[in-house]
Amino acid sequence: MKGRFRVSMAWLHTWAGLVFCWILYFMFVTGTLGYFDAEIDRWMKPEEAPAKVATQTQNLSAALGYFAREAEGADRWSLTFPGGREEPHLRVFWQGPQPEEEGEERASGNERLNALTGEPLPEAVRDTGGGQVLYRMHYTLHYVDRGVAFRFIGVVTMFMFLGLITGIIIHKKLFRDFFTFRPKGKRAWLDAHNLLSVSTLPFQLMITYSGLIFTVTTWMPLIALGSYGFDTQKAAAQLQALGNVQVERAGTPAELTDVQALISNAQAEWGERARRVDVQMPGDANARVFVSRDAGFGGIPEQRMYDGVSGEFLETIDPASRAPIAVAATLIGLHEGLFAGPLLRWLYFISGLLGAGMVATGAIYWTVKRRKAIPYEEQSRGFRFVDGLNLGTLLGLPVGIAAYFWANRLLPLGLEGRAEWEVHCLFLVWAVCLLYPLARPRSVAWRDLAWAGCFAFAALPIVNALTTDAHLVNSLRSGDWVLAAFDLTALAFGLLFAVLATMIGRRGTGVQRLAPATPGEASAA
Amino acid sequence: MAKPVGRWHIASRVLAAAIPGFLLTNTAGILLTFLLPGDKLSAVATATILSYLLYAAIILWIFSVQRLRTVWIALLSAVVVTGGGAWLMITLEAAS
Amino acid sequence: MIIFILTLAGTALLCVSMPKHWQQILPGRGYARQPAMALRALAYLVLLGAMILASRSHGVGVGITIFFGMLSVATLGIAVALPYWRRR
Repeated sequence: MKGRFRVSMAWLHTWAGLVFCWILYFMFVTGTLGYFDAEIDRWMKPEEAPAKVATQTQNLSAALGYFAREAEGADRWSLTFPGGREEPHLRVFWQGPQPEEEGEERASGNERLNALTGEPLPEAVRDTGGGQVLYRMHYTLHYVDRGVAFRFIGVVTMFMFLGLITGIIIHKKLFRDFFTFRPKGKRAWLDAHNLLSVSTLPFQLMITYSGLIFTVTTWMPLIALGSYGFDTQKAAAQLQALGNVQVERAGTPAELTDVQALISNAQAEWGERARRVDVQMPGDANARVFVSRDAGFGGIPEQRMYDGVSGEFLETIDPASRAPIAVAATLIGLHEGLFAGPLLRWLYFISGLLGAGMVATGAIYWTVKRRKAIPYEEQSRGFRFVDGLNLGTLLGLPVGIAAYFWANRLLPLGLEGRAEWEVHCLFLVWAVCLLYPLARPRSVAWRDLAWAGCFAFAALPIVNALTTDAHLVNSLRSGDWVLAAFDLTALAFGLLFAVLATMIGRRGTGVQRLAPATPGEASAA
Repeated sequence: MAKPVGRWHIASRVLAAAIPGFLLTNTAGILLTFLLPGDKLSAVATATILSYLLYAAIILWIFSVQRLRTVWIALLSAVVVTGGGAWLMITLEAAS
Repeated sequence: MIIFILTLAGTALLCVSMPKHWQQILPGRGYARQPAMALRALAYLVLLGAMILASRSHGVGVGITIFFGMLSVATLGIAVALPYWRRR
């Protein structure tokens, strides 16, 4: 019975893993780059001046001045103080009243301000999607309709979760083989797959399950809805307790209270700086001011609500005070890792790459296990299909991403839809890599693409130096570690691909040369 | 299932996982929100967070049971039982 | 840094204490159960120490996250280094 159970789980692991493995690899790679989205943004906008440092009072008066000028009579004002790596600038957002007529667009504005002058920042010289577009790809898939993509991503993530659980079940000697890695022979790929999965298991489980939590409203809304008797309005009203307070307009004008005093009050209460301020119905007698702190480890921040006219403290809104919601918030917080400092951010980055490696080695092992001692052309069609996709994606996607960065430096600045063309470059190069194995013998194609990856990444700092002043020499000399780290990481990736290419060159990919190192290893696999 | 044999065999299991399996996740989830202690919002949150774990367990079960007939009969009866239970709880709550 | 060294040390000790790797690292010496178990206990203690240290200096939540990240890197490093140990 036990044996049979394991066999069925092994079958499920193989196929649940394989079906979407290239999309999973794509999600892992682009999502992992997202941990450095702000840093990539910096590199891709070399002309942008560093943010001016301003006091909280200066920031607040700049934002309120902007709102008074641009958003008189709006329903909502929102300002986010500059903070950390994510947003070095003061950000303001406002939303006008709900339009009277159906179908009319609601007025709104979204700007980044120079806190010292109160003026919006000038348009970027270099139109780019930056790290944000790259990071968002891992759940929007870029070209696909957003709703469809999100649903699809939920399914793919579920497959990943199934792959993880079945993987744990079928790994017979999870603990005894904990450190096992035999770099020679046929078992190498299986060992590598096991090792990558087991060593990063906590991260993989966390990132996958929290990824699923993101899709609850898309895939599992019926549970909440059903619990309220499928009464949509009742359910919505209940879920408002999660922090979406909607204020009604009184209709009588009243002057907004001193917001700085409310911020100071909240900060004194928390012993921590406020991150965001929201005003609903400013200038109305019913105005409310919400001061939020940093979300920190959990994903949902605590807010304090004040009366916007008298300045009286009304209540604390903290959805995460409920344990299960705190769990969900923590999972989401862990997934995004917004709280992570440089050390943890690098660990996240490494874990994410290892996750991509786990998917990649699994996909390669599928072919290694199935190849027969016959010439490549006579292998089964399924084999050649998987092998071709492996080659074109596992190596092609990184080459495409390098092309995205190249495009950022090389596309003419005045190009219409420049940011979009950067993305086109990524996918065009990837497509070429997918087609490449059709034109060349298999083993040569693997080696060629690995060298292409090496060149594409290693030459990035050079392209950067030729096209901008933000190159390695300058960034190292001025101690600009964000820019320097980008170039150095690109070099490191170049080196990694060089190692890979020489390895492939030396050993071949094994189809032609089938005799394993020792006969025992072949039967063990 | 030892090793799945035949295309239809696999298709049937995939179908069982996609439709009655998913349905069962939801009916059982709704029922769970009524059975869990604590306030309603917390119970809803707990059941929703756990739903994917439940779904994964159901799928593993679907692929591990040997006989196809067992899979479908057990799955459909579980949907009826949990769905009926959930319906009962909803009606009881609406009446009170 | 100290946290990482502790994590690495703990993982290494854990590795030595396993029968399979014991023979890999200490060739010629037979696997002895008692010292191995003592090593393993020590390994868990060191790892626990690293975790506590991490949560002391970074806060519990972030600290434990950092610890698990380091544990992954340490495990991987040791496993990859292991086959090359004997060849020196």
